[in-house]
Amino acid sequence: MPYFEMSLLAIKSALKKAATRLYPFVVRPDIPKTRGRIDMHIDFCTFCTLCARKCPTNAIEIDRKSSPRVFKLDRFRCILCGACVEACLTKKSIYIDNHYAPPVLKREVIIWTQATPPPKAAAPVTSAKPV
Amino acid sequence: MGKQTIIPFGPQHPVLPEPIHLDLVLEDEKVVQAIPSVGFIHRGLERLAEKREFAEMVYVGERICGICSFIHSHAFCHAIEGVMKIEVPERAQYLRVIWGEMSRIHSHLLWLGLMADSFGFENLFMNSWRIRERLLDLIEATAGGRVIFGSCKVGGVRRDIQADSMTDVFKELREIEEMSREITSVFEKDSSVKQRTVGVGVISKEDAYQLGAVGPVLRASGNAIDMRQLGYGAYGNLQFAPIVETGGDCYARTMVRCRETHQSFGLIRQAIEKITSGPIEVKITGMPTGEFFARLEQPRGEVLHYVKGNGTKFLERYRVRTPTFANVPPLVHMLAGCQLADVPVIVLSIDPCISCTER
Repeated sequence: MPYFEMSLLAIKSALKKAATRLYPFVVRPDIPKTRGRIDMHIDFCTFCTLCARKCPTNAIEIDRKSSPRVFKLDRFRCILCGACVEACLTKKSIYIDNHYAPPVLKREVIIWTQATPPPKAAAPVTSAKPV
Repeated sequence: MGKQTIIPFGPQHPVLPEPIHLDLVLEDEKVVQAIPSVGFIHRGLERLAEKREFAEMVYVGERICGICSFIHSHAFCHAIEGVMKIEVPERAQYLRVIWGEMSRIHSHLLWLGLMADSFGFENLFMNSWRIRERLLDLIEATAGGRVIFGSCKVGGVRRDIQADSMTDVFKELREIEEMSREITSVFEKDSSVKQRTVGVGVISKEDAYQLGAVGPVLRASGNAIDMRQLGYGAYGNLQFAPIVETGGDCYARTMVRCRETHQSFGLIRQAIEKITSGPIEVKITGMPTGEFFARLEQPRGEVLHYVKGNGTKFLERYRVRTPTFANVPPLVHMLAGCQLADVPVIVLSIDPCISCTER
């Protein structure tokens, strides 16, 4: 029936429940593999700067000489390709979180710091401090 | 012969947010000639290849287009692998086919919605995109991104689809296929769709071939040419035949895309059945030396990626010829002699992606 094909589809979809959600009251369930945002476990970081060198958009800036050592990430530049995560030497400091970055009011760089280890000390451990 | 007027059409298209500009020479309501001009969003991607390492260039290559993103990255990797003579593991080849076909389905569903919108069929447009949303969620569950898959790399793929999630993909695809069949049967049978598409923008078999049309435009005119038959990736192991229609009008092009959507579901099922376990990537050593042409089938048609390496980590030359560029001369041919009201439908029927074309 050439005239009622669409009517059938329209009636069917009218009887079904809505395909959309009332965001932000109803939030979509998380998907484990989602590339949401880049995040850091700064305590494990050795400041080798491999991730900064591999980043195609230069979103990562590392200052290993300053005290405390600084790791900066510009989420506005990041394209979530995951090159930094693959390049990471420790394999546990930088990772992709499956939540999207929350909205912000102004453009700013995320900064993590880690105390500079003493010259021949064993393990550098300080608290993470995202600003 | 009446008085001729020129109407500028675009760069803002009534339906498609793609900046193509056409000067339409009119006699009353009839289009006599169409003069296209592109170049509004040139980004200089190919020059960038000379400053980025070839392995990093995949990220750039993938971002040429938002719809056929995966196949662009596949084409670039295929070209580099051709230059460096890398044997990609079989599992990676199958995964590339699965993601490639998913992106074909999502592109066709997007296009079907836009086509319905171009002749004012809002309900059909919404319904097409409702189904596409389910597929985008599936793509996100397997690759991690909705539009940019980010899963192709030189020498294989970045992510694997585990066996248990493969069964979920299988199940979800069944549901999406059933839903999409409802949509495509509307496109096939509905009289209001036929009134706006049958006999509009006709191009003959010879003209389509001579003017260098590619993809669904070429196949809708009766030429059975599909780059997937070259057997790149794992397509050589899969059973399929190119979808051909003979009408050569907008309706035939719509039908080709409807039937290709169904075919893609079948191809994914075949790939899931035949996929073997094993590694998903090989380590690459050395630098690309030599040149290679990669010809792949995108949802819009044949894409060419030309790569020339000179033994350093930077490519000497990288050139992309996208399907829309090849489809512009046939488009100009189709527009001559049509009614002004049919112009948006005809322009959309080639599935223009100007952002791809200008890179």
